[in-house]
Amino acid sequence: MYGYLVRRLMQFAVVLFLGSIAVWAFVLLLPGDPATVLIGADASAAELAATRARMGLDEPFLAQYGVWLGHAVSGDLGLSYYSGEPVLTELMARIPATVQLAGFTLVLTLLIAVPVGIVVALRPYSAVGRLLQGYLTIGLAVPAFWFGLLLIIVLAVQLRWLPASSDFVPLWQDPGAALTSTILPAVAIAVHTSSVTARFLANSLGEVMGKDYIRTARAKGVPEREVIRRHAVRNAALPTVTVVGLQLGSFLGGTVVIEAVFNYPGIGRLLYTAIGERDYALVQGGVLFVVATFLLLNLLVDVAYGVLDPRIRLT
Amino acid sequence: MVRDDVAHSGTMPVRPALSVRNLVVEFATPAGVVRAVDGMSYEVYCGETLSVVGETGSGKSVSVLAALGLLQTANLRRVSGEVVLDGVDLLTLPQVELRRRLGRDVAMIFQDAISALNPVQRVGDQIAEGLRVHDRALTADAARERVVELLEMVGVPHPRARYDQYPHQFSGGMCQRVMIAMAIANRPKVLIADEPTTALDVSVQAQILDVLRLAREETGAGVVLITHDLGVVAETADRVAVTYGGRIVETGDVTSIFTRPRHPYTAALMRSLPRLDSTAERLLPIPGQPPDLSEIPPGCAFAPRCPTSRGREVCVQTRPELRADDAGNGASACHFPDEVAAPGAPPPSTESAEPSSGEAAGPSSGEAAVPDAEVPDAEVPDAEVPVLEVGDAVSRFPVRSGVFARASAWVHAVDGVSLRIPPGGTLGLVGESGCGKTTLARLVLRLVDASGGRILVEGDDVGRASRSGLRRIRRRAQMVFQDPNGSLNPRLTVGDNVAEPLRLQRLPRARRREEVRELFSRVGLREEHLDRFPAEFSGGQRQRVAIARALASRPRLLILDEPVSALDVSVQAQVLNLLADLQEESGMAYLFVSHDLSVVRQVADQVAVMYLGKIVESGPVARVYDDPRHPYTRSLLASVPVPDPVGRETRRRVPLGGDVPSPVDPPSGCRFRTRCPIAVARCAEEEPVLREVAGGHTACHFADESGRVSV
Amino acid sequence: MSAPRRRLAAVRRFAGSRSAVVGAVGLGALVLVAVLAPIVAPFDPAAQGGEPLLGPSGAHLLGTDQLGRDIVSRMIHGARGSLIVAAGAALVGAGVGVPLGLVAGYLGRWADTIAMRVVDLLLAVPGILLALVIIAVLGPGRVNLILAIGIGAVPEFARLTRVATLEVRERDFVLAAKGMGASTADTMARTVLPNVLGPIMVQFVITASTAVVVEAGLSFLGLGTPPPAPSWGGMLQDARSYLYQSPTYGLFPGICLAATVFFLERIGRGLQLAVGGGGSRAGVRGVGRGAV
Repeated sequence: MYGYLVRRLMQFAVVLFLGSIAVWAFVLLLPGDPATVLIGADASAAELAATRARMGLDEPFLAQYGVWLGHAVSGDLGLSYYSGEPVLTELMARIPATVQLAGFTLVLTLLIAVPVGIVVALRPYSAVGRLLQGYLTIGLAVPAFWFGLLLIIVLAVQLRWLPASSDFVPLWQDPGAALTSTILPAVAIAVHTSSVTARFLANSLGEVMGKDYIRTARAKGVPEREVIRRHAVRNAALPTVTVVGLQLGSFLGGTVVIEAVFNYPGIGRLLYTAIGERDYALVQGGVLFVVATFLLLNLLVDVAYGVLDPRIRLT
Repeated sequence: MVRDDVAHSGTMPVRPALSVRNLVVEFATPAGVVRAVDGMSYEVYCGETLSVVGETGSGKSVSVLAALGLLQTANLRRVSGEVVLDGVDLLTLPQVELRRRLGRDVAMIFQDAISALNPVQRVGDQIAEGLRVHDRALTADAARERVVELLEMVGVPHPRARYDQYPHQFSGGMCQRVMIAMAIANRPKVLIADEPTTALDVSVQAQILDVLRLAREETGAGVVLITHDLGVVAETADRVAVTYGGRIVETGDVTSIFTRPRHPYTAALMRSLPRLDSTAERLLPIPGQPPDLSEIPPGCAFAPRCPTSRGREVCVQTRPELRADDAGNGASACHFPDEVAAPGAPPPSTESAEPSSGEAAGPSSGEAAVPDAEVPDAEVPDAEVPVLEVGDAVSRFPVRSGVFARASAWVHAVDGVSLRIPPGGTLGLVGESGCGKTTLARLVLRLVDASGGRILVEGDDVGRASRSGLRRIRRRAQMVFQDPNGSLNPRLTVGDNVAEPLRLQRLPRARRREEVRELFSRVGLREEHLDRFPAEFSGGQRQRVAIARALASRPRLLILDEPVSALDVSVQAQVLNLLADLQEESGMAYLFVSHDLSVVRQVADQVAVMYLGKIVESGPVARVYDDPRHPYTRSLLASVPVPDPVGRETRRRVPLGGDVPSPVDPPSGCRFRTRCPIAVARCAEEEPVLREVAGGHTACHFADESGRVSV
Repeated sequence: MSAPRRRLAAVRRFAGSRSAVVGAVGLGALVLVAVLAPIVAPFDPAAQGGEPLLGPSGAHLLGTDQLGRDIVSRMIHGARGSLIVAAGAALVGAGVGVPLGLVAGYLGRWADTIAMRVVDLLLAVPGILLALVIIAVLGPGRVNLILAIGIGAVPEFARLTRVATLEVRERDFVLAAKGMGASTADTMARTVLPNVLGPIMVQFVITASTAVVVEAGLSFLGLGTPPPAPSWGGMLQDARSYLYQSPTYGLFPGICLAATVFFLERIGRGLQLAVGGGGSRAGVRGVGRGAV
């Protein structure tokens, strides 16, 4: 277990390091000079040179990277080209909204996926099973952002039950308003992700049900309910933990289009806007944040897996 | 309890503990409905062991799984008949009622115990669960106490500590002990063991069979032992039921089955078995292939392969029913049981029947059947360059762990092994799993890199060979693997598989085709099958394809890594005979790696016994088998179940205790001393060298005292 | 009695599954419509002839958009972009990912370590964000769009191929090939690759379906197919702006999207049955990436 953890930690560090290089190098790859982007194309040559010097663009690449990384590690991701605010401040302003949406979506995903996955795996040909398989088929096929659009058309435009665009309300300020502001994008995403997770859980459970140890449990005389609960679901849940962890990672930065549909002020929308405005300092910082969060979550999932699976824990 | 009481009393005074009546099991497959079990009936009484014996696909395992409602595949179409336990037909019970009886009145022990245990549940809890589902009043503490007792009984050391461990921390043998503990926990009336020792080494198998015997005595249960191993049957069974093609073809008490079989299949099976105790003579295989269950012939399923039938109309037309013989202690499903039983009746004309039997089988070389054809080692002039010479070969694998996956320890898979094989000779390399025999075989072709020592193939150093030099060596030495399923590329036709070595030698396509045709006929395969894929063949035929492929580059040395271990007994004999014929024709040398001592005795002229990476004893077959000087060789030979029930009570078998120690940290001094019955203090300090003893080589301090302790 | 028998058996298994046939027929029809778009479409997709934002009517089956263009015609022409980008992205993903996974899995050691860390990094950026960033670097255009989405699909192919290769590498027939004197490259190409193709084919179809959605998402954001050309995602963006005026507009391009994904998903399942490629476990890390 110790060796496993340390290895995972090392991998995390290596990938994060690679990520920082990629994120930093991304600006170099961009068409045009960052200094020009910052001060505008019609600035004089002298102004440009001064800006380049101030931004450290005259230094060798390695030195530039070193300075940038040093700052990044201490939390200084530079200033937004557009607003002039520190990038970190801009990011922090969006994090609560993103985390709240991700949390809501995760809860919804699990609430739907676990029972659906179990029923589909064990009773695929029952009436309920067929109904839920239909749900999976639709959930897998329908793109989340279009489903979001449909929700707006029906619930906001036609029925006028909920607002079409969501001004973010934090949960701790007004739970009710927070719910109404976050529920629509969360549902739009969760219908898709719950189908993915349920399908995966069902496959995994189906595989486990064919294992020798399930037969052993039955041969011991364990009632079928307990066979499923105590032997099958526990084993099938292990790989599913990984999937859910990865999905959570993608909620924290990968919901760009959903946020655009609902005008939701999350990290994804911030980055999308930043790319449009060529605010590359913000893009750099934001992508680094998304990558680091994702990797950290991944690490946590691996740790959880190690704790849950005695085959890893005890070696 | 005296087992003969129940088994032999003509009229059964008691009700059977379990009786299976006219069981039929059918599956739906793309090839149509397959009747895996076709009207099987058998019963088992308390305190006796009934052995259901048969080859792969004969329906023996399916019958019990279906009987207990444990078959849950989606394509199961039909289970009919009666399975009566305590006067109740299990097949008619609703699932809840059935489960109430499973594990309490009838319990199962499965093959491959490691995967039969839940990997994420503590071993002790898995046994306790079996207790508590049948006795909801049992407290956790009381269950724990009882489980510790059970673990103790089945011979799990430190049961209290082991209770809280997980299956992956147990060896295969220990897992099987746990399975047995789980099965006897509720003192069932019937114990069903499905190939309980198949995946285990012979020394562990002997231990487990003893535990099973103990379990029967403890519970007084009737035991149904399902196996393909006639040796296991002869050692343990009171009564035997022989299955073939989904039916029971013969039943009887164990002695008469082995001494006076009344079904030609049983008789042929006995004849095809290589023996540990007899000198090598040609095996008498059963020709042809096991029946295809999706197209069972209308008559007797064995008729196409039967030496007794000789194409008689009634055998092909009418299915023989199981009929009791006049003495009343057995039954045979043969139209002519007396012809089989008649003394001296089985005319071993099987050899001549092979080519005409329709199915591809047997060697095509008509004149090859010369007995005693092997060239004895002594006749080979010493001046000749050996085909294989291994000098002090070492192979180590790193055990990686920790932060940088650095090698924290080394497994010495092969640790200083020397051997030589003259042209045309056969060296048998035997040992239990993990002893390094397969690694040694792979070293020869440098499929694994040696860490030390020298390996010469016809005088060429394998370790120092250049890339092209190695390629030339690999043409002269070829390998045949254990599992023909795995060793043929499933995406190539069998013809292309055989042509691969020729393609790599850049032979033009037309020539390849020609050569492949010739190779096919040499190994007894039909040319028309060239364009089929490996999946369309049975195991024995696939092994023939693999052998043909190995022959393609006309090698001087064949390395055979467990070439018949995955095959059924009847087919195994075909392949062994084929190998003997090929050697006869071409004068190839064989390095024959096997865990099966009987098979090695059959094929080899020299034997080397490996234990934990070292050769502990070697020499001519007769010397090693008849006058073993190493206690390991002796124990190994004693552990092999003898397929002869006569005198089994008097055979003293003291199985080797424990498991093979980890090769990461082998014992000091003599590696075998931790399991050795005659070890003394000196053995821990001084490593015995392999020295010449009585015409062979033995690495034991006490090798000269052959009679010191008979193990 | 002929070599393609086994392949025929696989085709029969594929054809035997009803859902696979539904998928294949549906996708076939879609491709046909896309190829014949200029003939099938009732109007020029760029013609701004009609009254803007009409609902479904006899003249314009599904109505018109904000510039009075015929929605049906735009949808038919939009199918072209979707399908080309989907196929292209899957090709790019497989073209880079399969060799990467094959080499990593077969050679192991440092090749594996390096390849897998790069894959880990690519996976750490959500697909749509990665595509956004790549387009920011490369600029807009269909080829760049294909590259942007394709690069995001590389890690799944690489992982899947690697896992399958690791499994196949241990089989005896690979050892047998080595023992016959086959070179490493020959073994990888002739012995290993054909035996890992099954799950890769399944992944190819799944990737194509994800690519359809990502392309639509990018077009929705205005960074996919450039605006004058019709695209389903772009149409949804327009619909988003005129929700109150024409609520039905947003319905139809989305149905096209969902249908395409549905057909591809069915084909994927059919393939999975036919080639017996597991892939469910190997693709774990790819599962979380569909969310847009």
